[in-house]
Amino acid sequence: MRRRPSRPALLGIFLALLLTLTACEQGESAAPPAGAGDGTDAPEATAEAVDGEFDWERYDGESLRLVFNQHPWQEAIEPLIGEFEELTGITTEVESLPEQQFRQRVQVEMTGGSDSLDVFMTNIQNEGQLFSNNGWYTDVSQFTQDEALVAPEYELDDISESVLEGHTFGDTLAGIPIQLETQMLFYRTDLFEEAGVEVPTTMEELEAAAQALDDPDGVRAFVARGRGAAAVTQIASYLYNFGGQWTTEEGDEPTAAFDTPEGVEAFDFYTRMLREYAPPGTVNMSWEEALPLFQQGQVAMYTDASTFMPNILDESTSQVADTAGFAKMPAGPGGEFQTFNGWALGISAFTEKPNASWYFIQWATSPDIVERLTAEGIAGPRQSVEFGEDYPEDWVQAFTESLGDARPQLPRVQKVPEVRDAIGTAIVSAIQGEDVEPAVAASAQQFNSIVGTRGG
Amino acid sequence: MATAAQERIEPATPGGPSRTSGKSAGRRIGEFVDRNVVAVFMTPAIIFVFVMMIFPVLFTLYVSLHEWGGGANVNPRFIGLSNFTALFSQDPRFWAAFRRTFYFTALAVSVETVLGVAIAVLLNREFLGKGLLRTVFLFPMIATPVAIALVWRLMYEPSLGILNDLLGAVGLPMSLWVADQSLVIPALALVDVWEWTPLITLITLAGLSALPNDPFEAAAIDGASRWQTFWHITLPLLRPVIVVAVAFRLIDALKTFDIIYVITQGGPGFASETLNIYVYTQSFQYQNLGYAASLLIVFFAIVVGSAVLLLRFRKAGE
Repeated sequence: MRRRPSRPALLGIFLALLLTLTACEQGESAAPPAGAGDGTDAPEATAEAVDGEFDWERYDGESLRLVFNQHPWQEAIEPLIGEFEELTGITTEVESLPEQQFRQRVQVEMTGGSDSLDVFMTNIQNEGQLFSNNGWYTDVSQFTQDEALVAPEYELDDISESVLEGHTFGDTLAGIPIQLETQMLFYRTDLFEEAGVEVPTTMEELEAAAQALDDPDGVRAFVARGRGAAAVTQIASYLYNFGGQWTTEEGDEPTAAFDTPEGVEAFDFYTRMLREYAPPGTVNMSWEEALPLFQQGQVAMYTDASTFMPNILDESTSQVADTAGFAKMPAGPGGEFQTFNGWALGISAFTEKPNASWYFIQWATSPDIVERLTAEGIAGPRQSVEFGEDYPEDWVQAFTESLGDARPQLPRVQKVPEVRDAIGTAIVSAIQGEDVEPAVAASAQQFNSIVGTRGG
Repeated sequence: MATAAQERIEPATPGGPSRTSGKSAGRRIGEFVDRNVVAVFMTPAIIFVFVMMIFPVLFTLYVSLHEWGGGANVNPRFIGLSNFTALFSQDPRFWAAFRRTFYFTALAVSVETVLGVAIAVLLNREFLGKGLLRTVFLFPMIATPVAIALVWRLMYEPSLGILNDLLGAVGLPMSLWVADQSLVIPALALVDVWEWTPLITLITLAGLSALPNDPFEAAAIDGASRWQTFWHITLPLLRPVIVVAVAFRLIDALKTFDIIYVITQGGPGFASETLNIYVYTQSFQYQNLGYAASLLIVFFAIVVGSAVLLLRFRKAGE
């Protein structure tokens, strides 16, 4: 016997049909869109010529779309954007997404050549080479050099030249940094005093201090990231200070240069520190594992990003809040270089409002705003800024001194995640006690094949 | 289908020249469904299967024949089977991941099966607190895998983790756990065992309660020992059920992602990088979509192949 389905059931069927049809559409649009032609032909936006004095209200009435990554900087700036709108008469539409979705959103819109995106946050060291190879950045230097477009109080010189150089690809200044971190040495003042050890200023002294402080059954001397890809940003200052480089600077094709004797020495030093003076298990440690070890008082020294200062000084999570000290990374036989990483604001190459976009960036990186963001805990790019009472003196000194000659932490290639894994392999196997030289050589070879075969 | 249905219904508007005029619209729809009951009920399912299963598989096949970097402004470039030849002949990471996947699966599923069946047999008797114990045994399966993995990651931490504290308390040497290349896969398999043994228990318990009584009575009359009864009667009778449970676990264990990704992200180095982790890295980290698609095709074949082999084994047993 066949029973006739009731009306609600029928409705259900049609609803289901409708749903599957919409699902179909979504399914197709979710697939990454095909490329919009060759990136190098992208019509890069250029500054519109203007005459006369600088005027904040020149672009009164325009509107901008800003796409941000969810980040402490974004949280601190969003409440202030109303002031920008008041100052300039430019209206804004802000979109803040979690990092993964943020990256996808920007890449999808850029691939499609969308002109609705004007200003976006960008992590230069991660994606700068890829984006600039694709021609997705508008050169910001054309604005900074135009007196009619720069407020007299802006003072670009306040931002370290080496940091700006780190944001430049060819002739294109890809963005203005908004949040920066440098690598630092965190140490325990109490343990140093007890052992009569001075704060190390050279790599040699760093290892000597480690020898003096290390207690294999108690507090270990040192920790840093050892987990392959995560350690690559952290080994950079060791590499530079031993006289090594990520890549050769000659020619257009980046070629691995970290397998020179200086480079091998740096890898050997970093991994020896982790093998002999660090708690067990460093090969699995990123900052998520290493930071708690320092906070719990299990290690005497720790090198990592300056941004962890608040975590170290937070008495509710850290047992070393009263005894932690901060210093620049020690110099090495190859010189003294500091390293930085961080976020910048860039202008889309496809924007139709380049000048108004520059106004936003200019406002967001102006001395006044940077100082107010600094008070909120966002360390910015300006060296002259007052840090306020929340920042310990030695941290401020280490940070501002580092910015002066800070270099980028990551090699300049298009396939950053892939080469990080390649370099990380050498770090992990060296920590595990394998011969350093062949491990580094193998990584360099892999680096070259990644950069060579799939486009640097 | 939707439009076809609408056309058929349209004449039903009042005054339309239809032999069914006078009946309510609802009735006419009902009659239409009666006449085409098979088509009406099948269509949503067919559309669903096509859109959500067949299309993605075909699209993956298409992408696997191309070189395609997702983010960059490059169109997929047809390169034939190059991805597959590169995979099989020039990629040591693939073969290492392949071996690890089977090592992890074999370890996890075999322990889960033995433990799961044993626990089911124990739980199948009458004793005080049986209901409570049964419920408690299901907890690991209900918890979120990522949360479980986070807890285990903390426990495995060599300096701050509780497992080394326990070892130290009974005077044993500390272990590196997941930071040790040779120990990392067994340690991860242990987490999988902890989480998924209850699934085998659950399925086996259902099988046990459906067993006939006669063979057991006959065995008791013949004077069989408990062990003999278990080995020669319970197990053979349970075999089809156990094989199904193992098949579920096998397919799932081959594809394990959450536990491994949260605890080690494939590390130390690549020592716990299984095929699924490797595919993730190639696609979402490196954005080599074409290469990742070819990996997925191979991986798909491996999973299907393993499942088919296992079910053959079941049939052979019958």
